Amino acid sequence: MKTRTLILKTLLVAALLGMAVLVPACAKKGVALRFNYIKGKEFKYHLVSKVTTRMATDNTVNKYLIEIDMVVRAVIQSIKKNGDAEMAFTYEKISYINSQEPEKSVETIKKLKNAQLFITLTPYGEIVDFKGLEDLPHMEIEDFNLFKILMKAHPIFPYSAIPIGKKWDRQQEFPIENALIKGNMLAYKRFVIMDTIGPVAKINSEITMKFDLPEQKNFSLQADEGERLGFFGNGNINFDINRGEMIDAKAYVFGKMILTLKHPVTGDPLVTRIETTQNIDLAIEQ
Amino acid sequence: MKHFFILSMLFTITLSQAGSVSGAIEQNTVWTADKNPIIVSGNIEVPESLSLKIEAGVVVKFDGYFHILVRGALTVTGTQDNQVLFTSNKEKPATDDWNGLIFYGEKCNSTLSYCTIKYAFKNLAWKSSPVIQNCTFTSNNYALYCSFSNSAKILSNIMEKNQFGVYCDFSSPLIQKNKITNNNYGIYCILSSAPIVGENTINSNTEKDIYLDESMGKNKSENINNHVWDLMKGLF
Repeated sequence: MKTRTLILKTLLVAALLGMAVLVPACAKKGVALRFNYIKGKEFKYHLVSKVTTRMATDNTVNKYLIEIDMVVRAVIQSIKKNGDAEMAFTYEKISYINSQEPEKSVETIKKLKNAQLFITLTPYGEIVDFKGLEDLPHMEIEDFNLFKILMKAHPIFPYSAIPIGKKWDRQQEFPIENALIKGNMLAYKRFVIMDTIGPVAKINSEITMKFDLPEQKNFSLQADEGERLGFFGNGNINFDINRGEMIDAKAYVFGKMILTLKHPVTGDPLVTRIETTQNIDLAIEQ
Repeated sequence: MKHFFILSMLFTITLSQAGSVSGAIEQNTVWTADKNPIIVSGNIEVPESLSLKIEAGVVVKFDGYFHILVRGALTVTGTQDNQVLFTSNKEKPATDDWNGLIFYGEKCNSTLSYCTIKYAFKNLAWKSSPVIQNCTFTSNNYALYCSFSNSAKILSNIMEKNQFGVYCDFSSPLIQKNKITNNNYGIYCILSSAPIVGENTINSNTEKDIYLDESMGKNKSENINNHVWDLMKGLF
């Protein structure tokens, strides 16, 4: 019995010593995050985006809702020498709620279902090219613009292994255009691996999106009192390290600003307070 | 200063004799076809108490980004066979070459019959009620922009190949028996506009034949909210 206890104790000490050596080594080496692209592989993005906007002019408040639930089929068409993947996307299913323009949705969805998008992603998740929506009416399809949704929700990894708890920053810029504004949006994201459970890295993100706009005469966009100008929020991502694939991602962004328009003839200022939130839920279906 | 004034007057008179016009008219004025073409070399104003009459067959060419601002009365009396033409003076004319005709204010009392207006940026009726009939608008940015104009009458005109046919904000003009085709937008209405539209031919406009921002019958602030939401769409 004594011998057995001694053996058990020895094994326990050895195990503890082993862990003491291995854990710091792992923590020091860190977790390597990288997409593993396989040519011809198909998968589906199930994507839900809900944008709620509150507009207030004087004491009148109006609320607007845009909700999209769509399934987008993706195929990895080719892999470049540098490891970038060229992916083709087609909209398979689209459910769309637009509180202001319900009649438009049928027409728009029809156009989108015939469209094919092409996105090039690096092994670290940077979007380096996006095309396919150029021939569609810009204003109608912006709600469905996969590129803009991915900009908020998609992870961008560090170029080398990173320890759990250590943060890394990434920045991407993308053009924005609507009936009023033409400029760029700078998307800064700060990531951190919170934990690894089995092969899954649980990653959190902080999102900061700022406008980069040329000087305008017809309107001004300012931060609301006590707020910063732009969109701010956070997200989380589950990433399968072994397979090099994203499992799902969520993002939430919020923006509060004051838009002052000049009446085109009288020049009178029209002041509107805008509050917008967007919730994005992205899941990969094999 | 006095010499400068006399020199300026002489200069203006010299230009006028050659068919070139600019500045505010100082008495009731008639433009006739024997002075063709009338070259507009600066902004022209028709003050509140005065009138400018443009007779059939007159050709008015704008030699720069100028306007005719009408606070008083502009009467254009073209005929079906002998129209009045407002156009650019450039060799290769294009949209926005000149500013436009501006019907300005409640005391403006204007009628345009059988004229053709080409290559302007914006022909504007602001808080005014012009009658525009049997005219042709081509290659303008805004063929006719009505702002705070509730009694303008737009009758039996042709509007084609403009960015906007009739654009209304806070306006409810009468739009009747017009042919509004092949523009970017046919009729575009925002901010409480509720035009009376009937017996028109409105088709083949690229973006939309008739755009309404759903503001009819709603209060001004709500309209602005809807308008801003519309403008900001696609940003998020």
